[in-house]
Amino acid sequence: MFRGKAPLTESEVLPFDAVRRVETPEGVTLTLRVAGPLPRLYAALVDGAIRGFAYSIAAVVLSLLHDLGQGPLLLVLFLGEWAYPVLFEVFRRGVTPGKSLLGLKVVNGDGTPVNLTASMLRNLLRFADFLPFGYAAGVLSILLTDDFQRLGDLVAGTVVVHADSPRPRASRGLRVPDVPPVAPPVPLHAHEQRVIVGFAERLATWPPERARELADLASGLTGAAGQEGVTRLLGHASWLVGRRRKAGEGER
Amino acid sequence: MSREVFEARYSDEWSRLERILHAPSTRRREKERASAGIRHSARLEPHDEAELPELYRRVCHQLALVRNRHYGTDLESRLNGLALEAHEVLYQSRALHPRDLARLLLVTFPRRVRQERALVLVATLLFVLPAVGMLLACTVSHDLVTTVVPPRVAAQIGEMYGPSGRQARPGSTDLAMFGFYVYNNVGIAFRTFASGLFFGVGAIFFLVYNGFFMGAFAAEIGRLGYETSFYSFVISHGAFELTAIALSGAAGLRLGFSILGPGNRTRATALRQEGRQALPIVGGAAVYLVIAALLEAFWSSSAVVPQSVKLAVGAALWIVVLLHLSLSGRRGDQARPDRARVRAA
Repeated sequence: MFRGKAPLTESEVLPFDAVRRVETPEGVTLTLRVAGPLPRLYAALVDGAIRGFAYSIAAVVLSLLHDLGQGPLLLVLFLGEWAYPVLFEVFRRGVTPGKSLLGLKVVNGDGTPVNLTASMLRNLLRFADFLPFGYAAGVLSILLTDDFQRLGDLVAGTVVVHADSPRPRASRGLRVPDVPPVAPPVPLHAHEQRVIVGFAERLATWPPERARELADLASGLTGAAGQEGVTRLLGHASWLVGRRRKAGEGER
Repeated sequence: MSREVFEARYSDEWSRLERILHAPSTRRREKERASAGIRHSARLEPHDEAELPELYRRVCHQLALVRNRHYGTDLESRLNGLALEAHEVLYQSRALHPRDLARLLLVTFPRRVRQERALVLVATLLFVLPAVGMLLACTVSHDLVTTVVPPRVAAQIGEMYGPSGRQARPGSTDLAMFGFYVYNNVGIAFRTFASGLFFGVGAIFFLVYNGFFMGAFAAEIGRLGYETSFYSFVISHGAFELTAIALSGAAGLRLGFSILGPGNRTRATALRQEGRQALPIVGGAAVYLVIAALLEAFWSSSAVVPQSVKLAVGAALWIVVLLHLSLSGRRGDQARPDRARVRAA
């Protein structure tokens, strides 16, 4: 019944979200949710702490060997600095322990798992990101690029994304309340439909005052204010998810 | 079809796909297959394997429908997540095989070096010319040595490379030195490459600075008259170490130049492509530096081997390095189509 409308434009779908779109060979566009600087900083700190901990353990153990332990300790430092991220990213599908804790992972720009070449490039280039001090170049690059890529990501063609998709609202017990469907008085745009359905789904999570306040914003559509506006919006939402006269029973 | 009917009709399919993707056995099998080096390994039981591509294509189709019919963001993001995960399994790249490392060292690395011979020459000159210049300058005015070599190090040169030097070094020091050489030298090679990103400036800095340092060092050795013991010490590992410095510099320049002169590509594309092309050179240089560290720690410093043997072996190693870079994997060079076209024209 909504066919024949203009296809969604990007700004209609997700206006402000940090999202990267990837078209697959199957001709469908998948969306990756790229991760911003802050979770990445936390992940880097966690990884740094893990490495620091491993170094101190290695230092204590190897000190038992006196002078003989110095060489192996330097090798441990070398591997920690250069190989740690690459090994985890390649063998654990783009996830270092720090990223795992923050729910992040590295993927190729097309959404496929990061491969050895890309992982080596982005981690070798870490030094360039570090320059001139304290990852200044990397932070600048993250802030200036659409997909929050540091210099290493730009060279390797990788992005850091949130690994878990947001839990669907239905699985959190959020669904459009079962009220009698009411057709909206005018045809609605896709994003308008989304807003109304989203409102109905999330209604249970707000205090009633907040719900009325939000419904008032749509008084132009509902022609009502306060609780009556909320009720009318719910009716429209119910209609928009496909329910018809007899609530709970969809049409074919 | 209403959204609720749509969900009811297909949710079995989606749960099935979810089960396949999250089954513990799939992770285990994936590992087995990865170690067997199977291409595009689906990490799946045989019957799942047959089903996954079909389910994936269907979920792609359903996702498109959900978007077109505005069934709502939550359903859309659920299907998007499913499709992403299946996409990830179906399109993962081939697992690594030890054979790949051999191929990198014997074919890809020397071939890439030959393809970049102009840049390798530039990098070598950026290293050699400052070294020679500094050597001459320091010979004229020996105070210049301490401008690049810290005085503390300069003072130790006599001890280390004098006729009596290095004799008393215990075995544990060899191992410590090996660790240090790997940590320090391979690290420098990686930094040289990475800092080349800034229009080549970083790579040029590391090359020139190392050149100055070695020139000054050599001048000090000459002043003290310790040439024989010094050059018999450095010649073996120098074959790998000096070459690797020049090569990582060349790889860094390749990165920088891709931004300066991207050709008819965007700079971002040029950077990605050239970075990928430069990586085998950095990898090869790193392996060279590990070999150099082994030689420097356990062979060059050996008090048992006479200096004449070290010089002979060192000269042989230089020949090996040059032959490796100029000949290894050459058969493949000639099979490259663009070469063939040039010859035909």
